Amino acid sequence: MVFSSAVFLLVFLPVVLLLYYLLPGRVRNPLLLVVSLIFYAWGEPIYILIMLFSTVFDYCNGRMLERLDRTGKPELRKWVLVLSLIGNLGMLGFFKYTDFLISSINALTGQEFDLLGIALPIGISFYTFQTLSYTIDVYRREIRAQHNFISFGMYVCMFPQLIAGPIVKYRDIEKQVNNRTLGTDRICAGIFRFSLGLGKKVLLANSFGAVWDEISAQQDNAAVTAIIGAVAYMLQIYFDFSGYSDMAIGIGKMLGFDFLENFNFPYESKSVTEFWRRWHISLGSWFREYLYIPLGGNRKGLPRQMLNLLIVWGLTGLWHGAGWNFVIWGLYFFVLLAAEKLFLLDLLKKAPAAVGHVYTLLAVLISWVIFACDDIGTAGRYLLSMFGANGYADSASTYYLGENFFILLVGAVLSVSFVKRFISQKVNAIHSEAIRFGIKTAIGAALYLISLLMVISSSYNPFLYFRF
Amino acid sequence: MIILNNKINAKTVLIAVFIAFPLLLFSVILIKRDNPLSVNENRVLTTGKDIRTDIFGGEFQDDLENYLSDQFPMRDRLKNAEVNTRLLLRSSSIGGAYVGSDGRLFQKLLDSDVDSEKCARYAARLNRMAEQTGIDTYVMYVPSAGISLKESMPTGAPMYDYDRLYSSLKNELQSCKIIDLRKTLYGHPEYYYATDHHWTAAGVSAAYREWRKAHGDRDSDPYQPEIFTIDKNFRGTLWSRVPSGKIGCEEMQAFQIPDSLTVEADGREISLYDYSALSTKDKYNFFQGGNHGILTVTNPEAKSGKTLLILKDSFANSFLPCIVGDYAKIIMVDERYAFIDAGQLAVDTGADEIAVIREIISVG
Repeated sequence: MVFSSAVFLLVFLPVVLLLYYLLPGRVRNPLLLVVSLIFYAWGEPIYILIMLFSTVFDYCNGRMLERLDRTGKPELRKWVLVLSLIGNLGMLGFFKYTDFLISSINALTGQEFDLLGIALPIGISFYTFQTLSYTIDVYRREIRAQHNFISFGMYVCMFPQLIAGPIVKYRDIEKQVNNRTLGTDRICAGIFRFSLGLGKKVLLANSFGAVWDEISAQQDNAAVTAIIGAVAYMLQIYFDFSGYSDMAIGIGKMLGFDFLENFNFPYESKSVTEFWRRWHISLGSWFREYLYIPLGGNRKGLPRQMLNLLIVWGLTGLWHGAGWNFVIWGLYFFVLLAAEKLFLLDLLKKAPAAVGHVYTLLAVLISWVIFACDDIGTAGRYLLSMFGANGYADSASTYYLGENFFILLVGAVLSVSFVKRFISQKVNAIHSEAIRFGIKTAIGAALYLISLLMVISSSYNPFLYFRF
Repeated sequence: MIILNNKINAKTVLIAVFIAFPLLLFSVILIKRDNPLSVNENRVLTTGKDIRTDIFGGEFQDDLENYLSDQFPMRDRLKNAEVNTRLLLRSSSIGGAYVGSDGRLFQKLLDSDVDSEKCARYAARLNRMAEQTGIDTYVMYVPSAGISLKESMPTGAPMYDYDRLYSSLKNELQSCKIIDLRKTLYGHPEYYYATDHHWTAAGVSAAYREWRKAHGDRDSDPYQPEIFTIDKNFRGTLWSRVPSGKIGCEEMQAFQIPDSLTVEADGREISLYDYSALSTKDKYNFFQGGNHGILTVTNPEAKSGKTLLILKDSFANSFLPCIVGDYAKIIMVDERYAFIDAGQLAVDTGADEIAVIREIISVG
């Protein structure tokens, strides 16, 4: 099920909230587990078994780690961790990368091994990382293992962030899993956040997606047209993904959870390093904590740091998709981040801020083209067209610019923090809490209603991040 | 029980509305009588009865989603409001159609929508058929409205490259006689409907003159059947994509036809004109009641005893009445619905001519 669907908006969410608020606190975790399983099974009933296996597997691993501590056999703990890593990453690897591996071997060796045709279970990349973080944290003795299977299952399967993140670490919501408070302030903040995310997804991301789809389908675009297409994709992926995160955080609040922020206006960054501190924050912090730092981070000399960065960014690329374009996309960022660590960041700090902004936006724009195109050849041709391989402008460029100028401008303005800060300042300056509440409610209600109507008038509305 | 435990205030009301409003809408959808048809969209809607029960195959989920969207209260008005808002924001690309400067609608067809290789394969097949049967084969490609009426299109709006496609197909059609309509139809808004992608009777008339010329008729203004008005409230399929009250109705016309015609479609006798279609949304189905696999028109009072085999798409439906007086027998085949060997059919039926009448991007 997706958030921007009629079933979710008209039936699932209101029914879940109604039951959640009316039923006593002790049944909320079981309720959340059951409805989350329904939510997941709605699209792919069969793959629920994989998620359940993952849940049982890591629940047992957590308990085992704790038991080994109690029974005085801590030396065996690392083998439980190894088992968990093999199990989780093996499952992710099998379902996500087997066909990619086979097709790569075929391409390299000229063999014709049959592809297995394995469909990617939705959200596997997200929930696998969540369960891994749990087991690793129990292994590190940073958290205690969850004894209640229902509560642990609820954490793994919880529908708000289940299929497109953010990647919620168990330790960040450990207390709330066991005991959380609900209050009207928090719920209303959740409703507002959800409406904001829905509007981002339905009103903005889908509009930008249509522009990108149309332009990228054409061959021989002039530079201006190709750049308009790439900018549209750049805005689409931001509003799509951050909109989804907003909705997840909003629903979390409605249910009494505080998920960490996943985006912080990444397009106003002055370097790629800063960009990755603001974009998909939960993924970046996961790789930093569970891979980069354990590999030695920057503590073992520069060559080792570069190697660590290479590993992290190669895997970050692969995490996003089973394709060489994703690997190249990850390595592209490795090159930029390595350059920034070596010398570029110092230069950027000395240069006017505008230089950093322009450099970052251009670097990210190029990265999204590599990311969006299914194969390297297509990405290469598209990039060449952006740099004028088919001329700089033609009549189509005029058309696309005129047709999309307003919405691109709106997207660009809303993708930086200025508008949010401005509106927040103005609203917060109002003394009357009732008026402040009224303004927020009006904005949220308008976004929710218009988005709902747009969902109804469009029949097909998938989220981009589902393929990861 | 958080709501009950707190004092009722504005925030509690907001939460209650956030939960109750969608459930109320859902209840209305369940309670109200299902609407089986969307006239605007010209399609059958998903009703409660259509929801299949296979949960594990995902059919139930898909059908429920479609049901809620299709049966949403005031759906047509919402769509209308959405389109009007887009028009107000001066959007010129809505629902796969361009909105021209004069309010005329065009089907949006980009290079990516055209399978030029498939078009070329089809042209090569036609050429082989002409060579193998030895029958005179005419190919009349109809340029899309957006190609002919560039002046009315939104400035710079991209369309597929008709000239490039035409040139490449021409090379494949060496053994066929091509009737080039480009100059004839270019720049004449009256030759195309403003709310539909088809040509008007005036457009057919102009094409018919070229048709006659290609058949060796030197008369620059050959005899044509009289034109009469069928309907003054025509809104075509493009309007269904851009359903706005701001875009007006137009007149639909057709040619007078002889009484002596016998028309048979897929083994059933029909009329060349289906007046019942005028009371439906898709009034272009007035011509033969729509597309048929094989349609045969016999005219004992025709000017010649010739038999013509037409391979066509829907553009030919309105062209057919213009030429029924010229042939004793016309066999019209729509290869999208009839899977036959057209060359063999031409030989078996003793066809004197073969004609291909279709938009250049449609293939059999």
